[in-house]
Amino acid sequence: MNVDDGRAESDSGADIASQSGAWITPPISYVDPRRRFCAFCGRPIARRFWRVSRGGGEGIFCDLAHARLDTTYPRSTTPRLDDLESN
Amino acid sequence: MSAISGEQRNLSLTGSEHTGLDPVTLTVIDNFLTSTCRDMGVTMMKTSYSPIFNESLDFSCVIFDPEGQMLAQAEFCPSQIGTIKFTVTWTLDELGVDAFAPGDVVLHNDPYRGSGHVPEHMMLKPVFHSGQLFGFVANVAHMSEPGAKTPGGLSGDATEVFQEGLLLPPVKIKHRGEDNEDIWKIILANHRTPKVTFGDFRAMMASLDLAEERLHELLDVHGVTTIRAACRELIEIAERRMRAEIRAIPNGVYEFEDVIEDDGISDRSYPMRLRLTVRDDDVIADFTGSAPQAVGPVNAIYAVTASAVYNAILHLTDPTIPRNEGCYRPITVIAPPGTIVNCTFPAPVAGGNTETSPRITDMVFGALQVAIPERVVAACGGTSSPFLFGGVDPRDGGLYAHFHFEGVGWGGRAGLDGNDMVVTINGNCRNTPVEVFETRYPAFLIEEYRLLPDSGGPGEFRGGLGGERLLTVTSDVTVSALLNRMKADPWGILDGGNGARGGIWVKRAGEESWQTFVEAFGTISPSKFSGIRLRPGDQVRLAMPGGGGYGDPERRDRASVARDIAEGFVTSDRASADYGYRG
Repeated sequence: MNVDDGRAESDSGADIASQSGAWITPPISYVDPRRRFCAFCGRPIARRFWRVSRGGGEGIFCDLAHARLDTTYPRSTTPRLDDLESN
Repeated sequence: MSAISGEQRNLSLTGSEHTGLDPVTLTVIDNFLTSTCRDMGVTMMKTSYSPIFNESLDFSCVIFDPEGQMLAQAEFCPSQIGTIKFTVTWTLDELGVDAFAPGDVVLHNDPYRGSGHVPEHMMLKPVFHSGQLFGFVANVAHMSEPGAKTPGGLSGDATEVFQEGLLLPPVKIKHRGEDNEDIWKIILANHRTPKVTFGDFRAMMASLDLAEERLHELLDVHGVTTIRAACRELIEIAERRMRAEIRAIPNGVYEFEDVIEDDGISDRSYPMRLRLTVRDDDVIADFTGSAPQAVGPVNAIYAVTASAVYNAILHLTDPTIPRNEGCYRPITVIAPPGTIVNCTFPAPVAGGNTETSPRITDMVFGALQVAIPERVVAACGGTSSPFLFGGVDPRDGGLYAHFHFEGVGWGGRAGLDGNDMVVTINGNCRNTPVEVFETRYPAFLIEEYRLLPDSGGPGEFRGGLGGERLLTVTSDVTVSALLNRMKADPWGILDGGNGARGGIWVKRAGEESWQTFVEAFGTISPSKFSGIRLRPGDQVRLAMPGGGGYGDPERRDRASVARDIAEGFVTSDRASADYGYRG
């Protein structure tokens, strides 16, 4: 069993400084159930993802099309419905 | 309903420059793949043990290429067909395509790896031909007993996914044609009805074997290279035709809101917001602004939300488009993590697939009612009506468990009234027939099963009727429920009226009055609970919601109103009040 201790990803060889990004394929972890999510659509990412660096930060995407859409789609300004007491 | 003329359809089939195959041969290949999926389903229906397979047909069968692109499906359960795309691609990503050998079968049901919910188990088998991996055959089916906190799964008051059954990441239940007995032992030790699980799993495997044989027949004739190229072309055709359908929808941003009325844990409602953007030949369904994920089991995982949107778009577009990966490419779904439409581990998810899914599909229709009023439909009863029960069978001392679907009224649509008491739009399933209910299980006698007059929302095209079932308990039984549209109306559209809400009540043995489960047992929700013990002589009354009406009731054809009265669908009083009928 391949156990991801959180260090393996840094060995992936990805150029995280590149604006154009890189495909990252980290090892599978069976001891950490936390998931990564596509920064555009929210889809949980099984394993492989596209990572780009933007404006000092980074974003991960489930595919290239979503990395592109993330720069053009007008995001909803609707606030999240955190205040459920008002229902 | 189609946006493409017959002439355009013909044009769409001329693009055979990649394969050199003529349109007729391409169509034959497409139909062969689709009929293979249908035959897989017949195999499962004919060979399975449980009524949720062989009566309710809660399963789907699909074919994929090595990259996890869907090549074919058939008329199965829409919510499963949408989610299996995610289940299969997750499996291929996690295991790697090189992990597969001839004769392998991978089993998987983990919602946090793309499965719709815990009871739905996916099996995936590779198909090798002439030493090459051609693709995968797969099926997904709802097991009536997944080892949850109460019999039948779908515990209406679960607070973690662990309470919803045994979780299986992608594991090989068969390796090179041989059973992996250790996997079998773990599963059968965790389900209350292992014999049923054994039979249903074998039915799924038989279905995969049949599909593998059929694909070999096809590949023997045409070869892997040609069929692969044909599949690529069929996907391109499907995408092109789906984009043409979307292009016929006016560009715009369309919004709609609906609500999940409670989660079984508290009385809070959970609003959902949809902002649907149609731009040329693309659709983006954005659920930003929806409520945070619930404590109880009404959360949808991302795959379920996406699947529900696909379901709506497929309902709104040309049904003759080949049902493969190309259909889905123009559709993008945004669902923020941590919300009721994309919950995060370990939130419970059982009702996301049965309750939240049809609500999302309805929301797409609601959003598009202004843009394409001739195609959309009013809200359906909006619940898969899971009523679950199990216990010890006094006839033989063995354990039994069952998941029972109930129908609901569907919404009215342009030119047609809604369907009466059909299982909701995400399922394409059927209820448990009374005869099966009474002979297979010892728990209930069905006293009544009928349509409910006036339950369909009034409209130019009336909402379909909900129904009522009256059950008398005949032996000690544990029941659970996860029902919706008990507090929030199924909405009408374009001036149509709302359908009737549903409900579930109990009358204890020796008592005269009906009570809600809140009153009788202190449950938090009147319609989402689990593990309630009933005893012989108790009665349960299930009322299922109707569908919303379409268009102004005043415009309803008078002869149709008179027929509704004559057939008992609408009472004279309501005909007068809702339709202004003075017949």
